[in-house]
Amino acid sequence: MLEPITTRPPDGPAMLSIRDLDVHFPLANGQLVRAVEQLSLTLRAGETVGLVGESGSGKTTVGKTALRLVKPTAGHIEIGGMDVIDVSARDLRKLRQKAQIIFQDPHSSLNPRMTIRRAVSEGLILNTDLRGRTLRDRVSETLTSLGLPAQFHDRYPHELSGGQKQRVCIARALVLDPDLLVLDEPTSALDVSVQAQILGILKDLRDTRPSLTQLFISHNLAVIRFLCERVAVMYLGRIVEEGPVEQVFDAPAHPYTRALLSAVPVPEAVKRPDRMRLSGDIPSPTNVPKGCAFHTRCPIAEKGLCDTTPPPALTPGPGRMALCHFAGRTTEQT
Amino acid sequence: MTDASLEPGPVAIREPMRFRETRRAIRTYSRSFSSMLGLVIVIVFLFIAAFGPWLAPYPQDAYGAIDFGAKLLPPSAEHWFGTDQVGSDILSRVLIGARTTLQIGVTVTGIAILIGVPLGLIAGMTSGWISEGIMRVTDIFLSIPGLILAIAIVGALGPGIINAMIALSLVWWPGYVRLVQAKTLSQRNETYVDAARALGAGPLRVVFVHVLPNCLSPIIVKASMDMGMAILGAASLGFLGLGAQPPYPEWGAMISTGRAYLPDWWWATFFPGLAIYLTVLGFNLMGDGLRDVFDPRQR
Amino acid sequence: MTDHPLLDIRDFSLVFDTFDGTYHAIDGVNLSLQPGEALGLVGETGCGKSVLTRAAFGLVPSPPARITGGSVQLQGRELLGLSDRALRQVRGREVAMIFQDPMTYLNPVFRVGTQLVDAIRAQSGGQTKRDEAKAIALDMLEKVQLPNPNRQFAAYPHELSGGMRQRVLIAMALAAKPKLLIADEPTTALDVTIQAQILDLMAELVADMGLTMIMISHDLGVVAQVCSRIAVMYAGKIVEDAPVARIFDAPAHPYTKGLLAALPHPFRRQDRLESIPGTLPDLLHPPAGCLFAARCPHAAPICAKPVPMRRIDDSHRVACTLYDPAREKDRADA
Repeated sequence: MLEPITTRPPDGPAMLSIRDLDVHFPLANGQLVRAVEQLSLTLRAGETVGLVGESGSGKTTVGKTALRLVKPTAGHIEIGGMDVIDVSARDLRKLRQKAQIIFQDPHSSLNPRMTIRRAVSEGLILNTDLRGRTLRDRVSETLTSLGLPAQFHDRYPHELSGGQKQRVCIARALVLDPDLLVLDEPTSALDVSVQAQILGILKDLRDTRPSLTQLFISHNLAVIRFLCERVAVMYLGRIVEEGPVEQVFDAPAHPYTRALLSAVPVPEAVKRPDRMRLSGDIPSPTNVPKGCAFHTRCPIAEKGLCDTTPPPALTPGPGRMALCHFAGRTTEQT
Repeated sequence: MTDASLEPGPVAIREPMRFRETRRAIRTYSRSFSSMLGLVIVIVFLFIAAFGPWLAPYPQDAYGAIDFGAKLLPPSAEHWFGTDQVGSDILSRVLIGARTTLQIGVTVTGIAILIGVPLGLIAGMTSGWISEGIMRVTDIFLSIPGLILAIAIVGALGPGIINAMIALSLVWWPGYVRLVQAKTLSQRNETYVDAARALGAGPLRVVFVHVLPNCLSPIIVKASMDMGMAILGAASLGFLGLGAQPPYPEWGAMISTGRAYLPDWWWATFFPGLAIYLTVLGFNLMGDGLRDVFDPRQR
Repeated sequence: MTDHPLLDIRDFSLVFDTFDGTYHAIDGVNLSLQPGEALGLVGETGCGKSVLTRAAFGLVPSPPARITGGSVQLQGRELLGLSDRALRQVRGREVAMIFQDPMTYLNPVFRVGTQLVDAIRAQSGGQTKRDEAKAIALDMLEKVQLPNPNRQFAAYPHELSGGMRQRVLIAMALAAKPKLLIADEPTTALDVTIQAQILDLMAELVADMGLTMIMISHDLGVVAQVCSRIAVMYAGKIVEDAPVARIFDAPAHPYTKGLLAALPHPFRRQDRLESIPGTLPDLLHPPAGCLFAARCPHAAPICAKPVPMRRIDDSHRVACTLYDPAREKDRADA
């Protein structure tokens, strides 16, 4: 049960496979931001995986790097078997069509001077030979299927509400019929009732496009629980726990996951008894603590072990991983 | 009951938003007295520039006609603005000079935009030595007072209206580089630029479809203000004897020659000066108004 | 229950004069707070929750805003119509406010301590001496559990983390021992684990200092952690006002029910989230009756008439015709 794992072979064919990814950014003052460190993650075709973490955890960088919007420092990324790192300009184009991204803020992710029809057409014009009537029909059909009837198609973004704009962004991605969709906090800027609509649309995609693989990046655990099958928890550039959503949420193996879960404000009148509070702030990614990155805030950290030795990747259960010296012990307790 | 609002989105029965926006812009602009004043002055100026030769009572006076019998007459019913030292009607010269002034403004601003905007886009979109190089050269130009540099350039090229325009254009573009580079840098970090890249848009498409259109409003505002400043610059060069040469009807040159007859024959300088003042004021007020329309927050 | 509420807002209405016409932002709001109560004011973007609390204390510039009626009494003293100077004193000494983004409320060029001392002296009208003010400031920093108060006292705002800045602002707000604290989305800009710390702190302060508080939030889960009572706002009106437990266990207004059904739950398996159909009513031309009727599953002809707040019991008020005895009669007539 406690054997360190090196590879976690997925059941189906891998759609997105990230291995040993490092992304570092130099700052003007000479410091180095270690946004992503030694990160490995595999998404099987058709799977919806949540990537959760707080600010500075590097979750957004992972998403952008997977689509090559950010250049990695080291590591391998493959999308549908195609190498994303050493890629020619022509292949990168093919990749753009296969893998799409939806950003957090729908207000700023649409060009204010383009009608939504033009915004959705752009990807088709750039990547396909569709033109004229067929292009128009394809765009209209996609927008309508996402709940934006024809009267909206020639409007400008500022004439739409936040939820409608996010639908446009989803349409812009889906119109290319991608295999991989990276969603970077797509509902964080929206109100709850609108968020529910967008989450509904995204969940329906699992039925309407069963082969679509989704990487859902969010800080909101409730949303991840609702939408995803698997979850990976990030802290300071590393995945500290990974596994099926229900198992991780019901019996978290990493102390950070436990703290995160107990910090979620639950919409209930009863206060949760098993509260666990972290003291202190998240360390800066320019100055990641030695040993286990979490040891400075960890309630169960042991001196001489956690502050010196990087924790191994342990397997607290089938299909699970936790980057903690005590991952085995804590699950036995729960 | 309002069943119409049951369907998603803003209520459908509304006039098309484009016209609504235009109406809102017009309303914002027209609400300000000074903006409207600027617009009126600019329209009058453009009208005079277009029809000056037909409006002028003595058009031949603008092109060096001499009548010493009528020299330095004070303003009267016959010569509303009086006459100058060679007996030319000042009103005619001011009216016909408007076209020269407009030419100067449009040419200088136009050339400055043609040089400055592409350089600004390049500097904003690239990083490394290209952008560094462009910005440092821009800084050098910006650190030298424009008019003095223009005087130096005209000095080298020789006085004349064409050379004055060339000189002014050469000192005017760095402002546009600064403006466009700053705007491009902020646009480049907008999510929709990232989104376009994720869709496979190349750098040229990003620049011309996504970045440039969103930089247009500050360029228009700056251009309208620069029209006034360029006119003032050309008049200054004319005044110093480096621009248009008498008897060419250019307002700065008219002030320069009229200066010798101050204060007794004040009208020879006063009316061309008033023309410059009003035109520059008009363009500046209009620029302020446009800025309020395009970006109300900058006030 | 005492008979004298600390804050009593009656029939408060406010409009914005805009290019398109008169925007009815707040319409006939009644809200009263007993001393020591912690009220959560919850609603979606544009419901008027922030405008209400700011306008009540003279923080909404007029024009474009115009208060069209009602009264705001703090301990029996009418605030509407007070001079700017008098309102400033009320805000400094009797009512304190903290906001969403702590960075924008701290001046980046002054040390944290200097700003605290200045604020404390200003609150007392300059009567507190510098060293007294410093003592109060350090004491407050300790109360808000800022680590190393002496060191942070000499720090600049950018050297503090978001959570620490919010603690500083809470200290600043509470230094004058105000009677009422208004916290406008105080944790929205913070990470989940930091949010949990700040919410714990606020709950403690409310209990220890006997503070009366209005906490404005879009997140029902957040207010549930701190508040004892929740008022739900929709389109400029309060639609329901009840103890926390009632809001979650027995919500009365269809909008409250809709909000709760739209909320993903971190510890429950949900196949679907209910979203509220339709969009906010046009507040430039608000309907005379219930503003939610167009989106409400229970809408009936009677909803087109004005709907007053009705008491279900002592602590639970709701503005809905479902609780109007006339509704059944109306239906029988029809």
